[in-house]
Amino acid sequence: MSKQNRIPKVDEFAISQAERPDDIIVKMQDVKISFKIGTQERVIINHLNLDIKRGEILGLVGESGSGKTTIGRAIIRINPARSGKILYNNVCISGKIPKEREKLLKTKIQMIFQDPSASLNERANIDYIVSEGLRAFHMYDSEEDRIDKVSKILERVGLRPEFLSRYPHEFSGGQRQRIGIARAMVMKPEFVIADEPISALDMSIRAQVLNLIKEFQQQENLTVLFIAHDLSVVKYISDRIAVIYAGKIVELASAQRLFDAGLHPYTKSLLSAVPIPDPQIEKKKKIVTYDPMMHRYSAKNVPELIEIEPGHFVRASASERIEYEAELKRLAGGK
Amino acid sequence: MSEIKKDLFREFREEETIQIEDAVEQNVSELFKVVGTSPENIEKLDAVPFSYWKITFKALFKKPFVIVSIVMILLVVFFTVFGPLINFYPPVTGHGVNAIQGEKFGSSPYYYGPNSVNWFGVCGINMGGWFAGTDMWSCVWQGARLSLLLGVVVALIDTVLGIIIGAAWGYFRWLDPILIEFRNFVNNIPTLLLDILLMQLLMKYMAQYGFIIIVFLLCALGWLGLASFVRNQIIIIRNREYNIASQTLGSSSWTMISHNFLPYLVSVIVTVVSTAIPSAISAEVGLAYFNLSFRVSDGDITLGQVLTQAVKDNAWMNHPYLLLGPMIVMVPLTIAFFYLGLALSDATDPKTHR
Amino acid sequence: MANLKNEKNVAIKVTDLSLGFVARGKKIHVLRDISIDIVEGETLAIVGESGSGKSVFTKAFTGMLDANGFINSGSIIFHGQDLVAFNSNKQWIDIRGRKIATIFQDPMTSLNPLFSIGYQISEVLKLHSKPTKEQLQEFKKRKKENNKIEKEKIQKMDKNEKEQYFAKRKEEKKQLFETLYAKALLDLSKKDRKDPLKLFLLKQEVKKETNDAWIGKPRAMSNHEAKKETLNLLKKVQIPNAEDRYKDYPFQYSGGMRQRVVIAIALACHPEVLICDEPTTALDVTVQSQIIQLIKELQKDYGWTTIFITHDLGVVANVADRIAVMYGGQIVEYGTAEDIFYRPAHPYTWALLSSLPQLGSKEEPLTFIPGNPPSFSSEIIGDPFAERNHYALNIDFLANPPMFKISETHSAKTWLLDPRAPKVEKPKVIVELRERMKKASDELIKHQKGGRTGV
Repeated sequence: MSKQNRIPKVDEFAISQAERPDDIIVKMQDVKISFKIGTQERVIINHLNLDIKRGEILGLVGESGSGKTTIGRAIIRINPARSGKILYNNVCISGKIPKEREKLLKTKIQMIFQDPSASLNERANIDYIVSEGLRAFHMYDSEEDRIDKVSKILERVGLRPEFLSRYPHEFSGGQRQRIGIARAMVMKPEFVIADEPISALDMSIRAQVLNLIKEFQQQENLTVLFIAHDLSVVKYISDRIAVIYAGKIVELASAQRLFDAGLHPYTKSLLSAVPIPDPQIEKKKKIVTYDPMMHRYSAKNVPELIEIEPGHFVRASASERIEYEAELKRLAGGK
Repeated sequence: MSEIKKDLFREFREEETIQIEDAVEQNVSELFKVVGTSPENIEKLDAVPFSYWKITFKALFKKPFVIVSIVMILLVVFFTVFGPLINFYPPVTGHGVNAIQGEKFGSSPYYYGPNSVNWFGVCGINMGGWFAGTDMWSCVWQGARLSLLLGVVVALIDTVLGIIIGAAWGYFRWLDPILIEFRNFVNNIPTLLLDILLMQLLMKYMAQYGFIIIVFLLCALGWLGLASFVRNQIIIIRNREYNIASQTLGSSSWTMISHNFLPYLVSVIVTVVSTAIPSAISAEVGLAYFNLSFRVSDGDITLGQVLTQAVKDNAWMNHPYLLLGPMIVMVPLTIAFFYLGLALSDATDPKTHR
Repeated sequence: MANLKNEKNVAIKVTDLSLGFVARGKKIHVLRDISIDIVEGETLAIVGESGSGKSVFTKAFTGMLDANGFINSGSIIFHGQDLVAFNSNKQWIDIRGRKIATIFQDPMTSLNPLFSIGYQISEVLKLHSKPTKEQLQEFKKRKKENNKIEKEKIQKMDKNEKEQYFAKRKEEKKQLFETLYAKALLDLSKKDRKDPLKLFLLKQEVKKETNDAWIGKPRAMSNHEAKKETLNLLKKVQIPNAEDRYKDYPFQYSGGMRQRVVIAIALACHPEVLICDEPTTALDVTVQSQIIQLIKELQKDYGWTTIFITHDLGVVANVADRIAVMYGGQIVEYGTAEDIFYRPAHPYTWALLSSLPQLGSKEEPLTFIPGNPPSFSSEIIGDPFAERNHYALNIDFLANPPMFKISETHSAKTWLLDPRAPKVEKPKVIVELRERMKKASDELIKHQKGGRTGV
């Protein structure tokens, strides 16, 4: 095993300041992701188009089975996309790509996992866990340098450097999740996929992890894809929110706009399910359920993701578009 | 806070509010000052650092029989090494030397029970037409030496091969269909037949290597069981999140196998290894019955051959002491190793630690 | 001390309960001096982090403590019996499941993956409809007497009369069989009515039923009765297509539906107290709200007492009449839902409410509680929350505060309520609590009405 730095020399993903036309860091074009079970193919995502802007936190919300985790894993090449293109800084990262590019990608994109107890290797100590990426690419000059890097990142997530020799089972769920964040951040990535990082944590600990992700994003100018199923959390942390249902994006807007003027019925049902911490109001709550049958799409009435107002996209057919525009007018007028 | 005696409160802690009030009255202003939290104390870990390996060790020696087993094994090894130095007669000299009296014996089998000279008795070995008396004590320990060596070597090779092949089998998916077919093929053929065929093949081409042939034979397919097991375990854990995380961090395949998979298989591996040693010894015994055990140079004998002699022509039914020697070696060894294997697998299983 | 005036009936009365575990040779005290009255028909929410002891608390109600658990002191009075004093499994059989039912957190593992859903529910129904020993004894006595009377009657008759009598009896029995069979047939689905095997099996069952009914023997539910009741239950928990899904296995159900099935099983025995141990934590937000609505509706119909354990305050706002906040093995604050949400008094409750993202604003970081819940391995001196408490007083580190009464319904266990404690400034979020709540709810409320919604 050579001791030199194993990061590929040529950084294909580096682009100069001048070459940033629309500042999109990840572009997904007509992506199809499916699983092969024996001979059957189960399509999870089909004809997906998504642009993630540099430096933003994009929230991806949907229920289990909607395909949101699959999208994250496709970008990072755990479940590769079967067709379509995923571009990172305008360089293709889906399908068959050269080994060098694949290796380089791992230094640019990292992932934070959902389950703090399953995502850490129970038989390894914290030092090994956090420096696993550093070791793989030998991103350090010497042992002291590596330990220094690991200690610094542990301090940044609020843990003490003495914990290096401890094992994961000695920590609480929140601490473990922070170790997972440290592990991803020590690689200094540009793009982080946070796959439901707080779903498995207690309410009171979620705040700490959310703050941490936000802090990192601001300090390192990260782009974050935040996958979750709880809209209230996503609203706090995201700049834009994409709502996904059954493998298709049904609405995409800035966080505040989605809450002010969410149009798609599925978005409305998600919004109505957000728990309001006020007993008097919550008890009178009416849940709105979403029935996909209500759309009555047909061959002539095909739904597409249309931009109904600047920055606000909804999946609607032509007839529904008219209704949504009317609703927006009503909301604007009502104010 | 240092001014207030902590002992004072220890007494009152369980009592009614009224009594606490008394103590509190004296120090009101000091006590009711807002202090808040201190950053150092917040992230401390209450648990004493404890490592998996230390706990395993402790758990292992909690069981008394573990020590007994280890002692048994050590005793057997001791006698294997030093037994022949005590009361030793060369097992079979090939010149018909009587172990007891230095005389040739006639054409009938000769057996003599344990006595002050021959602690395990005497067994007549058929030298083709005439019988040479051999001292069982010497035979047994000489045989034990070879058998033990055989057992350890075969077990080690099988284990190493089994782990490596099994790990690769489970991790590299393209290997899976190939090796599964291979395993099915091997499992469908009776082992004995396979062994006989292999043995004859080996004898034809490698007759001079004796010991190595048997090792080769037993190892040839012995790794399959462990490999299969390891592969199953790896398939179970390979999709867990920490393995996916390792992938996204860029760890190489062999790093993942050694750091992510194998530590979880320790429990399993240890069980299999410790039962592999007695299994190898027993396998050799089985082969010896069919005269497949290695042809030894003069003076060497294996435990299997000793047992074969005892069993031939139902000799042991009339002279049960013939079994005494081999049993004294094999029974404690087998029990001890099996028990150690079980105890180790329990001790290394993290679920039994809490 | 969580005693209410005796206008309402108290279902479970817990007094000074202390319990702990033996781990690695040491005694670990988990719960300390918990006292609370649980009123009949109310929903009590127990809120706390993992490690606060809330699950252990409710496990004590059904005797489900782990083998190394022990109850140090205190009492749990339910129906006049002290549940703490139970020491054999037999005593629990009448309570567990029948009077106190529990729903657990993980619907994936709560159901047996090897049996179909219908089978599992039917089994529970049949089990709980089994006649008790007393009923059987009573029946035996009655039967003896009836037999005696009948014998006397028969002895007085002559041959002809006897024949007539027996013929009449036979006819009556046949009639009974016909009625029962007709009734049972109605329960079968149309498809099953054409299936000769099912009809045959049904006939056998009804024959047995007739025999039992003829002699007046109390019996457990038969298979077809259990199936009918199961379908009822499945419909009640709003599982669509109950007849078809009756035969499905747990893996064919989604998480939310599995949880509904678990609720159906809990319903099957008509318990008086339902303990829900974080039933929605493993589910998505949309499914969560549906399950909670379901539990609320069922409670209205059946009128049982619900104990709802969770760490999510938002969920609590929906279901709870009263809330008990637990930390470090103690109840640190309890009161009605409005007391806790509008007038929280304990710093831990402040911290819990402040950390809700719904009440946070984008410009400032969310307040969070630093540190970790106390591990019980070392003895806790003083207030368990002291080391993470921004408002900790010196005395918090030395002595455990007593429960201070704020109002008839509201009490909190903190030294801050002591008259000698300094006045502290509550956290920003708490001060602005009502405004922030209103803002959050205004935003979300408008999506509950109007617009195109499919309900």
